[in-house]
Amino acid sequence: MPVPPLQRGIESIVAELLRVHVLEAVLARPEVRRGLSPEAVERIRRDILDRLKASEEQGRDHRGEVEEVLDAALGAAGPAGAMIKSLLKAGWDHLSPSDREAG
Amino acid sequence: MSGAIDLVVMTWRLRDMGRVRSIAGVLARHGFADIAARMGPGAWARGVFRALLRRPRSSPIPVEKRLRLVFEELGPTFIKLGQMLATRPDLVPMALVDELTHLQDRVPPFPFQDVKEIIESEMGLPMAEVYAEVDEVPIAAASIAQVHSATLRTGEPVVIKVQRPRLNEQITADLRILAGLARLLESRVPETRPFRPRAIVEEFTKSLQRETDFVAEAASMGRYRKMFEDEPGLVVPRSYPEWTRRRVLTMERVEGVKVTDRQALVAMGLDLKAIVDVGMRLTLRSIFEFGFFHADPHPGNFFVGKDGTIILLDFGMMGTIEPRRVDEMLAFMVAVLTGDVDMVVDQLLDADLIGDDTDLRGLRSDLRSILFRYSDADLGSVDVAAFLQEVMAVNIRHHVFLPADLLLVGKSIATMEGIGHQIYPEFKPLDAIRPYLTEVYVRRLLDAKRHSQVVARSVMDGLTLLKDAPFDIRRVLRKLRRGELTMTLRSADLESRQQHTAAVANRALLGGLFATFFFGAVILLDQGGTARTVAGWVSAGFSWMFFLGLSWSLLRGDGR
Ligand SMILES: Nc1ncnc2c1ncn2[C@@H]1O[C@H](COP(=O)(O)OP(=O)(O)OP(=O)(O)O)[C@@H](O)[C@H]1O
Ligand SMILES: [Mg+2]
Repeated sequence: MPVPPLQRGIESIVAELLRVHVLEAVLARPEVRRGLSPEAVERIRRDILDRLKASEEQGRDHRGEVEEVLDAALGAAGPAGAMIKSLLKAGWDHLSPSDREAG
Repeated sequence: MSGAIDLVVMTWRLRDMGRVRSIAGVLARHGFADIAARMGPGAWARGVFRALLRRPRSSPIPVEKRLRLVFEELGPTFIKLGQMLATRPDLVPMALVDELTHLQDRVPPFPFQDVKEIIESEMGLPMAEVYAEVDEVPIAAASIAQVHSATLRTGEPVVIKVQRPRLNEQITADLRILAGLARLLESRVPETRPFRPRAIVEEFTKSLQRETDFVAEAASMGRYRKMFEDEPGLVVPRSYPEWTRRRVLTMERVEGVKVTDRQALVAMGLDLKAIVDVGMRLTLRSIFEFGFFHADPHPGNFFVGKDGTIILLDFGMMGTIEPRRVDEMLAFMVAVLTGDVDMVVDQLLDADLIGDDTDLRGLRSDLRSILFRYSDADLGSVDVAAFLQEVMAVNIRHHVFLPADLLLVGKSIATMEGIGHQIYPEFKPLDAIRPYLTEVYVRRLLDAKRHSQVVARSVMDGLTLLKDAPFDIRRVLRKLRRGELTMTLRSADLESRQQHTAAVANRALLGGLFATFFFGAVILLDQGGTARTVAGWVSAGFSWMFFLGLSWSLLRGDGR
């Protein structure tokens, strides 16, 4: 089953968020530290990092489609939608370091 | 009142009456007749049971054991019912659970002539055209089937699993009786409606039908084989689809010794620790990676080959878990295994398993004391089964509803642990379980593909929600759901089951119904509890007895 472009775009965004904001936090959790040896944590970190980067790159070209859907959906929501959209955008700019990194 | 009963009785086929009567007879013979005396609220009922009461009133045998004997005597449907009850410690008294785990599923074999007839009628061929040779003495005989060694015409050594003659008719009749009971419960005892007895019986019917369909069993074997293609340490016999029908399963014959036969394993010079490690890994992977696991992990279904490979047999009962539940379960187990009380309670809350009347602080403090005690112990030596049982007991005490699939998963792991201890006493289950579960948990949390699927699916309707709910949607939804919690807790669980074909989980769910309404009542009454002090569910138990007794008396009346 081919993965729809929208989902690839989402995957790319999600992967970036996970990599930048979630990965270290999860690995630092007490239950993870208690459940795994430091070597295991390191091995898993490297493996997950590779996967996330691959997801990020594969879907980068489809991120525009996510924005289109958002636009359409939020546009229909009237003024509240516009407000949410600007919030989302501000939030994304704040969260995503990709411009700096890629640039 | 009697109208409803009449209706139910009338919907039974006449030929079921004999069966109803023999069920009543079996109950009476095992000393459950005396209960009738205490439960009769009306003179008419007393009359019904007069005949039963002539039997000896009390029995030196404990009530749990007598119930087990009743199950064994009533045959396949009830043996399966008992096995299901044995997986519900949250609903069935512990003493009964213990007793039911000893349900004997070994029965006298049926004659070879029947074997031959069944094979020929299923294949539409003379037996000799399929098998060059069939051993007339069965290897094993259980309530559903018996197994014969054979050789195909092409020379391959196989075994044939042949279903008992007239099994389907018998199960069908029993299920019709149970359906009648469920209808009666819904119409006569409104308290049982939230449990949806009729839907549950329908589900049990489906799952039992699946278990008696060997084509489905062969398919499960194939799926399991494929899942573990990368595990050289596991052998699942290959089935022969061309020689497999609903009542006949032909599969590759494998040689091995029972996994619990430690002496033989040692004599074979095998690495016992490796066997146990592989067994535990396979168990965990099947549950948490594939969501498709062997739900009858009886030591009798595990064998070990000459080279130390694990041989898994009997795929009649498989458990399935949907991915969302795997996540919940993983988080729950990681929380438990790493001693994180707050996370345990959050997980239970998120999964809507905690009743509104639960004292959260009490629950937390009870959990904390167990987890603390175990976290102090030498990790390797923790007895996981005992530990899970304690956690479960606390949950039960605090009215936390335990989902059937979680219990099954617990049972699977505990069985594997038991096998491990038996053949390799130094086995440290937590050393194997904890890192594995934690790793799977981390990987799933950080799996972008999986998350994006969920996001993509909910993007459209999620955004519609967003537009008029600019606040914590998750919290609101949870509240909304909990608003109807008391009524829909179990039926919601059932619905998700229906969508996700968890054959065994359903069966375990059904255990809830009978455990609570029937056996619970019987035990309480037998121990001298009075009807008035027990809640509405006991009255459901009454109904069942009335129901049997009444029909029985009707029949006696007819006979005269
Ligand atoms: N492929 C096989 N090769 C060799 N022996 C087998 C094979 N399959 C089954 N057996 C033998 O037959 C016994 C019973 O098999 P199995 O567990 O599949 O059926 P069952 O438990 O009798 O039936 P059910 O669980 O449906 O009531 C096994 O314990 C084993 O000794
Ligand atoms: Mg078996």
